[in-house]
Amino acid sequence: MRGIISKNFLSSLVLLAALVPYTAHAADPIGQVKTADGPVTVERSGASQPVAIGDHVFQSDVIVTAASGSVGITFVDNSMMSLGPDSRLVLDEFKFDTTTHEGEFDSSLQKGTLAVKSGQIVKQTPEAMHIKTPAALLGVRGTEFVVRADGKN
Amino acid sequence: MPGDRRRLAAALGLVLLAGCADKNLVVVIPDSVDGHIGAVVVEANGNKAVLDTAYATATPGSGTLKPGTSDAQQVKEIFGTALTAQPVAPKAYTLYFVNDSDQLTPDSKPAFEKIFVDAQQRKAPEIVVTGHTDTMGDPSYNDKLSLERAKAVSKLFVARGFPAEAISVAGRGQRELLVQTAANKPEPLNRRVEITVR
Repeated sequence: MRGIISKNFLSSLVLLAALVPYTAHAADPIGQVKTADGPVTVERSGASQPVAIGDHVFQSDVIVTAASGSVGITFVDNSMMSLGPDSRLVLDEFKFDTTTHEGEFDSSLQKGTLAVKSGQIVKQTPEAMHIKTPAALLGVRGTEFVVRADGKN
Repeated sequence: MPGDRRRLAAALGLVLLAGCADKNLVVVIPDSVDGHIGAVVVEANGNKAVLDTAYATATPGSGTLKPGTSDAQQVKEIFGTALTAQPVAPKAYTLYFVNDSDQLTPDSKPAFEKIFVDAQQRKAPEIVVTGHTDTMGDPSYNDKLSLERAKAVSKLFVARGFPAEAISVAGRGQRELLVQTAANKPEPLNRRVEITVR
C-alpha cells in the first residue's frame, strides 16, 4: 500500500516536473533549424509537422528524420546538433542564461546517428549537457563527438 | 563433432552479439573549427569511461562499455550524413567605437562589411549583438551607452536588408571589460560590441 502511494506520488511529481518547465519556456525558441534534407518532422504538443530551414525549435520537441532525412540545428548557446537518417532526438530540457552562460541541456537520442558540438553552456559548466541513449548516459565536456543508438537496449 | 558444432554456434553467437553491441557507439572527434580534442563521459550499466583522446570510442551495451579507437574514415562511413548536416559553426566578431559615441572607429567599418558577408552566406542567419563600454563615466550611463552601441550596429545590418527579427541586442555596460582598468579610465579596446553570427 505504501509502495503504491509513493509510486503514485512520484509519478505525479514527475508529471508536475514535466509540465512546469514546459509552460514556463514554451514560448521561447531554444534553437533554429539551419540545414534540412529529405523528410524531417517535429513532434510538438502531440502533433507532427514537417521541418524546414529557419524553423525554430522548442523545449520538449522531438526531431525525427526519415530513412533519407538529415537535419542540423544551432541552439541559442551556440551548441549544434545534427541528425543522420532514421533518427529520433528528444529535446528534453534546455535552460540558458544569456548573461551568465549558466544553463542545462538534456536530450535523448532514442535511435539513429547524432553529431554534437557543445556551446556556451558546457564552456561555462562542463557536463551541464547530457545526452541519454537507450544504452548509456553521456556527460559532455566539449566540444565535438558523434553518437549512434540502435534503439533497442 | 557435435562439440565442435556447439563451439562454432557459440562463437557465431558471440560475433552476432558483438555486432549488436557495436551499433551503440560514441566517438570523440576533433573540433571542426580549431581541431581541439574535448571529452565525453560515458556511463552505462554502472561502468564509466572518459573519452578524451582523438577518435576514442565507447560501445555501450551488453553489460560493458568497451573502450576502443576509431578513425576519420570509419567516422565518415557511419556518421557522414549527420556530419554533413552540421550547421556552419557560429562565429564571434568585435567592432570598436569612438569615445562616448555610437559611431564605429574607421577601422571597424571595413570589419563590419566582413561580418555582413558572413551573415549573408549563412542559411537562416541570426545575429547577437552585445555592447560594452570603458570605465569613463558612471555605470548606469554606460549601461545605456552600451545598449546604444548594440542598437547602432543592429541598425547597420537592418539598413542593409538583414531582417530585424533575427537580431538580438543587449548592453553590458562596463561589466565585461576586455582590458581590466581602474574607474574613469579611457580604454579604446573596451569600447566595443561583440557580434555572434550563427
